[in-house]
Amino acid sequence: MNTIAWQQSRSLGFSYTKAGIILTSLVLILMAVGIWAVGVGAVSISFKEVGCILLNELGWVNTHFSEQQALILTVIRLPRVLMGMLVGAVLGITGASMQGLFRNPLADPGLIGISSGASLFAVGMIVLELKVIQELNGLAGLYGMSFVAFFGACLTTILVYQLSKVEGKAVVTTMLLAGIAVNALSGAITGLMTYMANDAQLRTIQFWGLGSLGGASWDALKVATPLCLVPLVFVPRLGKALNAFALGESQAEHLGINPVRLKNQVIVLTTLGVGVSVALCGAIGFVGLIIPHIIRLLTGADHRLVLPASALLGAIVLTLADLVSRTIVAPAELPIGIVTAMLGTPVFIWILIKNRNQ
Amino acid sequence: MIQARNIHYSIKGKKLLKGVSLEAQTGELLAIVGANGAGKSTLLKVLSKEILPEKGEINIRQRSLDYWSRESLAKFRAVLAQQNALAFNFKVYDLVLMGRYPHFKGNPNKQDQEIVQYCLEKTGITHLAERIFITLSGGEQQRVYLAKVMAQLLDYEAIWDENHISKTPKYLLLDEPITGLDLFHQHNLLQIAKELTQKGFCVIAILHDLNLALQYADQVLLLKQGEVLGYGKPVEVLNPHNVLEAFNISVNLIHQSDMACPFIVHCHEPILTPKPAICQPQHFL
Repeated sequence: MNTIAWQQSRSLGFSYTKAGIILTSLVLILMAVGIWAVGVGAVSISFKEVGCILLNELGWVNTHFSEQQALILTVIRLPRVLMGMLVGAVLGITGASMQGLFRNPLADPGLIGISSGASLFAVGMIVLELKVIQELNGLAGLYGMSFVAFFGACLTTILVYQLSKVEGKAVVTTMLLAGIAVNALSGAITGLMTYMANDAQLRTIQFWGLGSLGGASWDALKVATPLCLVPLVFVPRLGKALNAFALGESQAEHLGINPVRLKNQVIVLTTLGVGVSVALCGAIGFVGLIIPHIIRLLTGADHRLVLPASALLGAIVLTLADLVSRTIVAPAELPIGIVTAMLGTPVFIWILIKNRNQ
Repeated sequence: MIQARNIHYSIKGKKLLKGVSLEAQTGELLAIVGANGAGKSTLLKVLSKEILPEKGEINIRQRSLDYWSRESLAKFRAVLAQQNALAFNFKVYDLVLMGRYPHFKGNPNKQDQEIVQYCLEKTGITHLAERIFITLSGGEQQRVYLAKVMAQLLDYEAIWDENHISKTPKYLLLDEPITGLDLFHQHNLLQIAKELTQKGFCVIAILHDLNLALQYADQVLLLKQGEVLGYGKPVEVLNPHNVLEAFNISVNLIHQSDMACPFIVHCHEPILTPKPAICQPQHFL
């Protein structure tokens, strides 16, 4: 082998410089989008004013803004935008890891029953108005329903996981089928309860079907941040293992990867992150499915880059979608699920057509 | 050394392996041959710890297969499987680099990249390095996988020194490696396998072409319905009697003075339907 060949080889395959550039630019876009999003709304706050308010909060007292602007920014918009980023990042990264685990670009976090389970329990709680749950509501304050939804998400995921076991081992294809079955069943029960619901209950149910970041507050963020950071920190470390998994389970094993551990890690981290986001913001569709697709088109299939990049793009897209959802029909709000699906579907169809022509 | 003693394996009551034993040394290419369903792939899966035998024991480097963890096995043993479906659009280079995964944490170093480069060159796919793997033809894909398993096992020293012999024994298991390859690359692949045996590798390959087994293998294991029909030197094992027994086809072993090894030709229809004992090429149609 000569030096010329070696010099050529540096430009081959996965490039760390390219990965660094992509991730850095996504971070910069995310910051820009965040600053823009906190400024836009019924009361407009300019970029300069945003800076001044934040500096004021941090202790550098100044008065280049009105009291009302400061309140809106710190109490309403900032937690909402941060929540959007957090949930978007979780949906993006868990979507990418689920697609890697199922070796299928059509998988998404909802596949193993997280969203449907959360919705089922939340809707059940709204419609049945059980005494126990109302007491729980008294105990946990506003988050009683989120707690129940999270519990439902975990329960259905465990059910799907147990159903997928063949001779004690979770089989990915069976998990896919079990997920579809459990999703259909919980969808049907949710539908039945929706049928039984009265008008006021229907309004609340809509929230679960389509999602909204309207409930975001600093208190909600305090609950969500530590739980969502766990998958955001640990999933990117699974990049190599998920790459090897693309070769097939046994091939990955021959490369020293433990497939059982990988499956457990991905499922636990996904359930945790998505369970929390569904519990607090409802089921937001399409982000987990589409974001990893777009990233793969931009960067290639290597999970070492796809995972962190999906988190960043997920955060960007959900922040923008929330911006649209709260401004387009202001002063009312459009559920964010409608926005993500309306924006997501054309992009998805475009990807399908592009792939078909390849 | 891979040592298998009295391996039994059955699935849903059907016995696939009935007391198979073998011993493959480093520096040796062992060819496993046999009819479809004779248990060749099952044997290779048992040897690679993909499935566990019901009975019998397997030793690799003087220790039981159970002793070795996945991680440590991956450093000195690679498997080229028969069915390789890849999910997602990985580039050829990145795929071959996956062979180095057992050797680095985080990011590959310069040596890993040089090994990958060498393996791409060796298998003649350097020009495909930037292509998306799933857009390649079947034969090209097979060569990419060969480069991957080579990258997994080669020492860094071996890419600079043709005569380097690996300090630790390496094991390469190939399940029908030449399927889908053209004539040139069939020989190319087996030549590479042969060269690897001289670098301290032990290669076990499932082969369908008996002539290639005669030409390249040091040992041949002939399987019939999960049992060993013959095990030893290729010329001895692949005699017309054994071939008829294993494949139900009559052959002649032709020795030619200017060739290093004899070759096998089919001569007439299986013995069950007797026909004139002359060679009739139309039977190949």
